[in-house]
Amino acid sequence: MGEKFTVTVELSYPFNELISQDKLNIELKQPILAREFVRLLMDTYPDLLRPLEKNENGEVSVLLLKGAVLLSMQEEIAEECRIRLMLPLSGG
Amino acid sequence: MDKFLRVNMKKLSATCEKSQEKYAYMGGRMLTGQLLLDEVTPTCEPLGRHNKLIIAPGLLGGTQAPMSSRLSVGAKSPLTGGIKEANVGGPVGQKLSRLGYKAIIIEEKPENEQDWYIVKIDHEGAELLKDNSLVGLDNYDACALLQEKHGKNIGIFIIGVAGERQYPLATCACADADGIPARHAGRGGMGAVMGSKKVKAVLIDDSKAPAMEYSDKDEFFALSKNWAKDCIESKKLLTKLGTSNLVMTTNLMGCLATRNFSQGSFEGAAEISGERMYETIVARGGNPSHGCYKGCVVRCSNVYNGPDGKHMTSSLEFETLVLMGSNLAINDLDAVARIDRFCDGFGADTMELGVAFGTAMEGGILPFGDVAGVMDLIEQIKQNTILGRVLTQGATITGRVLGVSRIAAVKGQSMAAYDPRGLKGTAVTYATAPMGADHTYGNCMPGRPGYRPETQETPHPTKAEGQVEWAKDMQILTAFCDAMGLCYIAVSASLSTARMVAKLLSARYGREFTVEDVIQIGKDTILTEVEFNNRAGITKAHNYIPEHFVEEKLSPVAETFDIDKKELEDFYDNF
Repeated sequence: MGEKFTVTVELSYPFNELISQDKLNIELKQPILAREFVRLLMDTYPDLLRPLEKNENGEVSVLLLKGAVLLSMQEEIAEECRIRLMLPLSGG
Repeated sequence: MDKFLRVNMKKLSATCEKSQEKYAYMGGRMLTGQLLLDEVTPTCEPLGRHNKLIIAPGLLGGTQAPMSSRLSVGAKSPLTGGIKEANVGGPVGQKLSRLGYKAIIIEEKPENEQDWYIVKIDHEGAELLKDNSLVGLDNYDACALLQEKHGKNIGIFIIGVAGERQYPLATCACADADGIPARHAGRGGMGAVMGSKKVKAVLIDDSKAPAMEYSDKDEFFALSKNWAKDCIESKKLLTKLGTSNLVMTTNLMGCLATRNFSQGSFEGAAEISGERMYETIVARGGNPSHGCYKGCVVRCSNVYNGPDGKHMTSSLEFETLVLMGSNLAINDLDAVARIDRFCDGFGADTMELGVAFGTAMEGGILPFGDVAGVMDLIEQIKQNTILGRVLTQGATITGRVLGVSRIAAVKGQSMAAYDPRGLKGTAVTYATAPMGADHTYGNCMPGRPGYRPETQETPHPTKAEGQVEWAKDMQILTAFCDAMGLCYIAVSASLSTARMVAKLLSARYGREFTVEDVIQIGKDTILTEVEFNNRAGITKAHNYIPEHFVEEKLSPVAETFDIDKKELEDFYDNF
């Protein structure tokens, strides 16, 4: 087992309004895939699910942005970082 | 909804005819494409008498289905020489459907080209009226006069001076729910085709339209109500910030078209962002969440007031903010709004003109960031100077005339606001779409999956792998939305939407539709368009992204466009 680390999740609109918080600090005991991290978030804060659509695999479509980089759902989150939770892009 | 209105400008007649059975389950873009293939010689002169302008609401038009008032406007394009469908919101699609029209077909040209005409449609039929009183007027003034004469609820479909002059970037405007010429079938010069027919406006009075018929009205209404609730919940960001929500995100991702597509991020992005626009609109008493027609529950358009609190433009959209903003290194929201106001009034495509301006800046006509210089170019367009006429031929011609080789266009049509190196799925659509670089043909937005199992996880936007298959799916999903008259942005082009559409079509028409049927509608729509282009001489060899995007790395993502050309060429094989 590695050391615990904290992922700070910045909530973009409308997630911030759904749970009345602008950010969450999620403590992790071990590295986790982005896909599992999303599941963990949604299980812990089910109101975040409200604006989200599910894909055909039953997974919610949502974006995680680390700095300027979109995370792949297969990517591992293995250390302390800040991640922005965003709706799938829409418009244009 | 089983009739066509055929307007023959040589005979000066407007005649209703029953549509053939083969068109019974075709609507919107599917119908415009099929009618063009059936009735127009693909090699014809786009502004000649053999081309036709087809205006068609979707199969769900006029119903209670949310966001179902989109209108398809099709013709052979004077900009690209290929098939074109430009898609527009506003109430006109809904009104035409309520009057029972599947399509308006405007054909031929008058022998006397001095006079202009208006097509007026109501529950009793249609008539062609000679009317030269609107010629030369700004769309705003013309719409105000038409409303004064025909009432506030009249549906208005109109061309501006750009259309009268038959510029290849001329739009067809639809007045929105407030009577403002805010919505445009913008791309591909459909306004020029309408102008070539000497039709200034089509007016639709649906005040005495009969009630829509449904095979199972209760089921249809229940489905629509639940779907509307889902759309409201899932599109809250669009409701708040509109399409401009994308400015900061695409800037961060590094695919925001900047300085004639030479960079993927802009130092002044925050100044033209959705967030800044929202604050400005609220502070000036505008409306950040405005519906382009009464049945829209997402309301992603806006009303933007000037510093004096008076209406300046509506709606200011992402593509305009970028192509008239960062693409020209302009970080002044009011300046972009003034340009948008001009384009709406003049009837010009903000996207094509924005890329033409960027090309002119690269060609040394004026420096990047020169707002006064852009306003001078606009004045030249109004005055019809040589430079003004060059710019209104679009980005490709502008580049050729000015000796610029870095032109952000495919098949003669400019790209949208996304740099192809930073959003590669959309770039595949730019390269392959029969209509030129058209993002609305299949926009691959991160987090928006396709319909097949292999496209459920969206690829990283800058990586080549998976983009071709994803783009195929998004093109098909978008095509069926266009055939239905659905706003693909507000409802999402997705498999869940296809499922809903199958249920709605079944309840509407009393025939069982499956999700496979709906997907097939998308495929058939596209293949019809590809076939038209093949016959016009625009083939798979034309499916490419210009070389400089392949050879030059985009800052800051450090990527080139690296998808194999063969994959682009073979895109529609075994579709």
